[in-house]
Amino acid sequence: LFTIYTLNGATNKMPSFETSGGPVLVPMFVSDGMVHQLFTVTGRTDASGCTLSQPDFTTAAAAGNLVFRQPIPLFGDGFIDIIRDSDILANLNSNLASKQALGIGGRPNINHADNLIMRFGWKAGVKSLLEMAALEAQIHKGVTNDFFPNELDETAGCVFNPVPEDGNNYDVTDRTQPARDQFADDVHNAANFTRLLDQPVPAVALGTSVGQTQFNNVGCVLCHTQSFTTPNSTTLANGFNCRKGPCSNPVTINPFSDFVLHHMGPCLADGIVDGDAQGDEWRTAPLWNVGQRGFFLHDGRTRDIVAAIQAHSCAGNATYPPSEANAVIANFNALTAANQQALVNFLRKL
Amino acid sequence: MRSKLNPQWNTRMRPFTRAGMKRLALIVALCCAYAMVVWAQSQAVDPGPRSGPAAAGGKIAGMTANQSTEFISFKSLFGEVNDPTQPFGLGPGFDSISCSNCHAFPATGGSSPASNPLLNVYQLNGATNTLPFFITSSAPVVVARSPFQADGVTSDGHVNQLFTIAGRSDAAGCTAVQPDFASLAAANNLIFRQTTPVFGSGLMELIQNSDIIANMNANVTLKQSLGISGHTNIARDGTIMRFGWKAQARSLALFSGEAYNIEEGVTSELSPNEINQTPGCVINAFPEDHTFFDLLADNLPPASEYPGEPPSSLPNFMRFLAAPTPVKPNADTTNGQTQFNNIGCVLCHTTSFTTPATSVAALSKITANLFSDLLVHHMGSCLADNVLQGSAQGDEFRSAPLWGIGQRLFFLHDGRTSDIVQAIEAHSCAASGKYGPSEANAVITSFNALSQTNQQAIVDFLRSL
Repeated sequence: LFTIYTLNGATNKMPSFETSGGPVLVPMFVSDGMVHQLFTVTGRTDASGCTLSQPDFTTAAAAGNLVFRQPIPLFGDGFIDIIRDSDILANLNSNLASKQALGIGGRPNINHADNLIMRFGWKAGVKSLLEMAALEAQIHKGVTNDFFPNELDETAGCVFNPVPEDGNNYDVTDRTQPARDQFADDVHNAANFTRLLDQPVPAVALGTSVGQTQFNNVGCVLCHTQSFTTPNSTTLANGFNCRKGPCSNPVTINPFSDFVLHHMGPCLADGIVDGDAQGDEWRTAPLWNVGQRGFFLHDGRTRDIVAAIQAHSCAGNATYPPSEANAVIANFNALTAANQQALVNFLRKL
Repeated sequence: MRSKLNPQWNTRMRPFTRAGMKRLALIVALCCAYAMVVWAQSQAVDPGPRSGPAAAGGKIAGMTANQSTEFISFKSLFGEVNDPTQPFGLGPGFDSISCSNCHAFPATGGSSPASNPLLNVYQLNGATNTLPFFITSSAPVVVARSPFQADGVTSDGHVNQLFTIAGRSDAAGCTAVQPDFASLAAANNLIFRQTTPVFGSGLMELIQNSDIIANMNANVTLKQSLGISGHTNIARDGTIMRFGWKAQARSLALFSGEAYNIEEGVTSELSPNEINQTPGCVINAFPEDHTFFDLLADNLPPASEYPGEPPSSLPNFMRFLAAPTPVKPNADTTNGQTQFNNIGCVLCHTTSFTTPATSVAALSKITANLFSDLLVHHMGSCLADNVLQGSAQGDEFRSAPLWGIGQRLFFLHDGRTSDIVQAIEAHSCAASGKYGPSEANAVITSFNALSQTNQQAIVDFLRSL
């Protein structure tokens, strides 16, 4: 962000929570549950006449109204998109005795129009890759599209394009490769990029390491479910489509997530309600590729994976119940130093 | 009439005070006025849906040649009949077999036809569905929602798909079962929503948020004096949602992705998973409707299939569907619109918005006479369906756009009446239980106080739209 905030003469001030050594953070206000965009085009040579000001993050922070979310990696999202609801529920309802003994619950974030399980985002508040792509184009870049067609801010002098800015290119008549790609809107293209992005490759054979054994034994795996198998997909691994069935191509993925919500206690709570997710509920973060990740937890509060593990533990307070991970973290802390290290090493090999 | 008179009477009964005699006189006067109103309102007659050719269903003016050509394929996909084995596979659960099956009257893109099309659908190809008690030949097409979860208390609101593909010759082995609608009804956990027409929705989609807000904040003193408020229903991105009975959908693209899965069981990139996942019933790979990466390999005819994939085609059809054309005003309907404005209908049923500069030229800077403020309003317990959607509460509904209402057969969210006069009266509702009074009460009182001629003029005006 430090290379873009004053690009082309923009007069933005860098909010204090964005630091050169820190993660990219998206600010949200608790009061309205909405993302508030960091910057405006004011001052840019290609946006003359616009006088939009940035949100007052300082005041919001002083009022306890400011929370943050860091970017989520998208690798393997095409698989997550099509994991069956029934498989998510079956996994949620497995090992119930073990889960209950450890204080682990969990529930899906349900879209109450169609009863389907949402699974993207820190609180699993988004149902599909396509909807996510449309939403992010609007929220993070201010690009209106067929899904979110109006500008968030319609201040006179700051709206330069007709809306929606991204849409079908109806006048592309040559639908042959590669011109046909030009017909689709950027949102579809961005979603399709994500759809075809492969799952990360671990640097350890799964199921063989001492660290993973500890990971399973202390109960991490009860939420960070190792694998799901996708149903038959219309998008084949080679980027072609399965249309003239039967073409069976279920893929086993290793996301290390159950894709449901868990109460994580007041220490991680951000007070944002998202669908069914309450202020202290978070989707079990998929751990694939956590070995190459720079920042952890929803607000990127730590670069230390051990600190991230410990942050799963939290006593309840008047507003929120205790973290569902408390017993598991107690188990972790009771491990020998060698086994703790093995567990950490396993994670860093994902 | 009596059921309406009593609550109105009660709201006017107040404990006698020092000004007792004065107030009594007022009550007597109001009572007499009310008796006249009852007499008067019974004289306004709904002439019924306007006859003649459909005043809607065509494409919007000003489209490019390519758009006009593509409109034909967009429309064909809106009318495509789905079956379980084709790529866009019907079911396992569904409400009907094509979009146009229910979006039918007075033209493709409209709402429920006179004869319920679901009777021709529910046992198609050997399906073993039984007809839910609320689906009859003369009833409107409705979807069935449950306001609550199984506990009967926690809010939910999901659609219960009416039918399954079980028994169909092209769905061998499927044994999915229909919801138990009788039990849901007995548990007071079943409400209905009828088909909304989609004419002109490409214009509605693009109306600026700032214009909706400015209109909301216009005439505030007058609105307050009549008990009218209203608020926006906000989408995840922070802009104003505007489609659906509670303004719960932001855009045609998002609306159609959800509807395609709910109504026909066709999964798409927007809604990739089957709602009904009964083993043995899921026939196709996911999502059924998707980008055709290998268009050339499949040798599909481009014009109909790409971007003929429905997530783009269905919204594109609606996007280019012209607004309904009202009939030319006459003295009666002109007076009707004046009365409509004078008594305050127009305070929520806002006559028009103008679209901003848009990237599709045919939709740019067009005045849309939709007769809606696109806000949700409290309508009281009489209309409340207890379904929460976004920030819309159980008794809140979007001001239904009135364009095309001259050729509409069923009114209100659940299609409870075919009589537009009853639909007007149903806007009035006293506070009851957990819900306050309808925001329309004062306006309906004003309507009832109009002369028979003026009441009829309003009705005639509406039927001219």
